[in-house]
Amino acid sequence: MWLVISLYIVFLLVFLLIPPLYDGIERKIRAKLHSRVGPPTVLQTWYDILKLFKKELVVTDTGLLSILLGGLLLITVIITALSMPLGFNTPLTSSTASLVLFTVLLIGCQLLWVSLSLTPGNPYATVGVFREAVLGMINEFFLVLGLVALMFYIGSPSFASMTSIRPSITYALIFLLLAVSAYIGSGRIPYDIAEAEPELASGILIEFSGPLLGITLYSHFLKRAILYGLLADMIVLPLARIIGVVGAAILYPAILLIIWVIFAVISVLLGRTRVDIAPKSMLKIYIPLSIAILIAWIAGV
Amino acid sequence: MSAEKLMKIVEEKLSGLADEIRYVESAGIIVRVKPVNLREAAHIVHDDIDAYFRTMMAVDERPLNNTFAAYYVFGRDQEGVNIIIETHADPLTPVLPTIADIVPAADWYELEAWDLLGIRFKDRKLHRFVLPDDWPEGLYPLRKDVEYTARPSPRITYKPPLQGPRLPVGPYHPALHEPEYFELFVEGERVVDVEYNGFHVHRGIEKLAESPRFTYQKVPFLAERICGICGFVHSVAYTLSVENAAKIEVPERAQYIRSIVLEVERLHSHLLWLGVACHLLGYDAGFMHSWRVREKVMVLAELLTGSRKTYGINLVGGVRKDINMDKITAIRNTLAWLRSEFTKLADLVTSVPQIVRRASGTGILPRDEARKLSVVGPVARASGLDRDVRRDYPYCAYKDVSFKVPVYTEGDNLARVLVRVEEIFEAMNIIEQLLDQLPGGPIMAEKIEVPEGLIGVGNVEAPRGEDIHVIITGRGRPYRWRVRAPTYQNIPALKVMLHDTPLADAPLTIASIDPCFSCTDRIVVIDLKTGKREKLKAPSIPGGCGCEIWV
Repeated sequence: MWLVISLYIVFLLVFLLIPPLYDGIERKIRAKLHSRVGPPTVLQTWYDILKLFKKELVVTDTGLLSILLGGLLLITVIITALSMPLGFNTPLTSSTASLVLFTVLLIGCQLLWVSLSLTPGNPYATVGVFREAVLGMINEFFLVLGLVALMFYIGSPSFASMTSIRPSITYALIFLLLAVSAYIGSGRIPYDIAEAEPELASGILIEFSGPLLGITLYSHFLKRAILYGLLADMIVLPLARIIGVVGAAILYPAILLIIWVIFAVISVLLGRTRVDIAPKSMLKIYIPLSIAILIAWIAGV
Repeated sequence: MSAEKLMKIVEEKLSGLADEIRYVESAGIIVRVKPVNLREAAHIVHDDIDAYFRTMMAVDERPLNNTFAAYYVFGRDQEGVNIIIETHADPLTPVLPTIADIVPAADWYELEAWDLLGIRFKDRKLHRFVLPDDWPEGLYPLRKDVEYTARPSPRITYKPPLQGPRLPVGPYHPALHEPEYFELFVEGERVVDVEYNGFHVHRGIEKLAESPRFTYQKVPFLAERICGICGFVHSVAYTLSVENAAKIEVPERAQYIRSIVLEVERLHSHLLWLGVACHLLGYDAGFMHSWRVREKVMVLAELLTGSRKTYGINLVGGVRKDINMDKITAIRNTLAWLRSEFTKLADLVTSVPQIVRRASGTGILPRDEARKLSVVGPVARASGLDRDVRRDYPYCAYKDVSFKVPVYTEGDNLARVLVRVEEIFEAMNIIEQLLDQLPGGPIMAEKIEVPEGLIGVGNVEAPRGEDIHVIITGRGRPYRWRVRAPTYQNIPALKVMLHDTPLADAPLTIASIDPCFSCTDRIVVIDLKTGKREKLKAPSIPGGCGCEIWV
C-alpha cells in the first residue's frame, strides 16, 4: 500500500509537470512539420509560464472575480488530476464511484473555464465564451455518454474495475468516442474557435495577463493532459496486471505522450472551423459512433 | 474600336456639354466641362459610354490658371483609352457638384479632395477622412500655399466610447498587419454593418514629392516606399506617367526587365497573401509552407534588384540594373522549383475541408456591386469582371506576351483565392516568355527632358489590382502627383462583402481584398539616414504655430 502511495505521489508530481513539457515537444514537432525551427527548447512552454508569473498583473475592473475563478479553476483541475489513475489505481481511484467523481469534476472544470472567460466582459471574450459554450454543450454530452458507456461496459462506476476488462470492438469504439471528445474538449484545431487568435485576438484569454494568464494557461494544459490521460488509462490499466504497477506507471506517460503527439499532428493537417459549422461536424462524427457502440454492444462484440 | 472611334462617340455624346474635347496621347480623351455640367457628363461617360471609374485628381491650379481643378479619370477597357473629365472650380470658394450618387466609386475621392484641398461638394455629407481628427479646421495641406513642412497644433477633440453590439477590429488586431480600424456591428455571430476608419499612417507623400527636396529621378525611390510589398509597381506607375507625359522613349530591354520584376513582385505578393489567408483560417501548415516557397522568390528579387524587396532599380527612362546570362539561368531554375513546389502547395491548400468550406459562399461581392464600386484586380476578376490592366492598357513588355486572365463569377472568398492561385502560375509563364524574348540594347533612355504643364497617366496591374498614377509636370519635379493604389478602390466594397457574413469570416473577408493599408494611406516616412526620431520645429505655416512634430 505504502509503495503504491509513494509511487503515486512521485508520479502525480511528474504528471503535474508534464503538460507544459509535452506542449513544448508538440511545438517542436509542429515546427518540424511547418518546416521551421520552432522554440529553442522543449521546456519553452514552462519558461513562458514561469515568465508570466514574474510579470505584473494587469486586470480589468472585474479582475478580482477573474483571479478568484482562475484560482478555483486551477484547484479544481488539480483535484480532477488527483481523482484519476495515473496508469495504476490508488485508494482514491479505487473507491466505489471514482469514475462518477472524475466525470463530475471534469464537467466542473469546463464550467469554471466558461465562467472565468465571462468575467472580463470584453466583446472578444464574450464571443469566445459563446463559442466555447456551444461546443461544450455538445461535447460534454458525448463525453458523459462515453463515460457512462464505459461504466456499463466495465460493470462498475469505479476505475478499479478497468484493470479486469478484456478489449473488444465495443471497448475500442468507446475509446474512439472518448478520444474524439478529448480532442475537441482540449480546444484543438479545428475546434479552437473560442480563442481563434486571428479572429478574436485570443478571445477568452484576451484580458488575462501575468500570473493570471499563467494560471489559466497551465490549467488549460493540465486539463488537456487529464483528457488524454483518461485515454492512456484505458490502454494501460488493462495491462497493469501483466506489467505490474511500476511498469504501468512508467508506460503511462509514454502512452500519454504518443496520444498527445498524434493529436498534435492531426491538428497540423486541419484548418479552423466556424461556430455554425462545428456542431454539425461534431454530430456527424458522434452520432454514427454512438450508433456503432450500441450495435456492437447488442451484437456482443 | 480605336481611340478615334471612341473620340467620335465622346464628341457625339458630350459636345453639347463640353467646353473642349481633345485627345492627349499621354493621358486619353480630355473633356473639359463647367461644374454645372459635371454630373451629366459623368453620367454619360460612366453609364452610357460604359467607362470604368479609375481615379480622380484634385489640383490646386491657382498658380497656373487661378482655379481649383478636378480630373475624373474613366477608362474604356475595350479600347484601352481613358476619358478624363476636367472641371474647374472658383479659387475663393471652390465648390463642385457631387457625382458620388452617379459613380459610387467617386465617394472617397470627393471626401479626400474636401479634406486635403478644401473643395466642397454640394448635396452630400462631407466629413474628416484622411486627416486626423485633431487636424485644425480650414487648413488644407495639398494647397500650394501650405508648405510640406507645416505642422499645425492639434485641436482638442473628443470621441465617445463605443456603445451597443459593436466589435472593434483594429487599429491593432492579429488579423490586421497595419493600423486600420473596422467597426463591426454584430447580431450574435453575424455582421450586419461595418464602418471603416483608415489613413492612420498618412504622411502626405504626394505633397512631399512636390517639395524642393525631390526631383523627377528621386521620386521613384519615394514611390516604391509607398508599399512594403509591391513597391516596384508604384515606381513603375510613376515613371510611366512621367514618361508618357514627356514622351520619353524607354529602351525595350528596360521594359522587359521592368515586366520581369513586376511579375516577381506578383509571385511574392500572392504567396505572402496565400500564407496569411491560411493563417486566418487556422491552417498554419499552409501559412508556413507558402512563406517557405515565397522565400525563394525573395532570393530571386535580391538577384535582380540587389535587395530582397524589389527596390532601387527603377528610374524615369529605364532601369539601373541589367540581367545577364547567369541571372537568366538562376531565374529559370528558381521558376522550375517554384512551379513544382507551388503545384503541391496549391493542391494541398485547396483540399483542406475547413478552408474550402469557410471560403465558399462568404464575403460575396456580386458583379453589379463590383462594377458600381469600380473594384480592381483579383477582387474584380473574382466577381466576374474581366479586367486586367496588363492586357487592357498594355505597358512595359506585356504586349509581347500571352497570358490568361482568370475570371470567376462566384464573387466569394474562395473565388478570390483561386484567382490568385491561377495568377501565380500565369506570372511564372509570363516571366519565362519574357526571358525567351529578352531583347538586347541599352537599359536607359538617352535623353530625359520633362517639359512643364503636361498631364500623364501611368497604370500598372499590381498584385492587388490596378495601380494608377496621374501627374501634372512641373519644373524639375511634379507639379501634382496623384497616387491611387488598388486597395483604395477595393476597401469600399468591404461594406458589401461583410454584410451578413459570419463574424468568424470577417478577418478572411477583409484579407480577401489583400488590403495594403500603407498603399492606401500613402507611406510612412522613416528617416533611415540618422536611424533616430528627431524633434523638429515647423518653420512656416499660414497663421504659423511652430509646434513639435515627430519625423
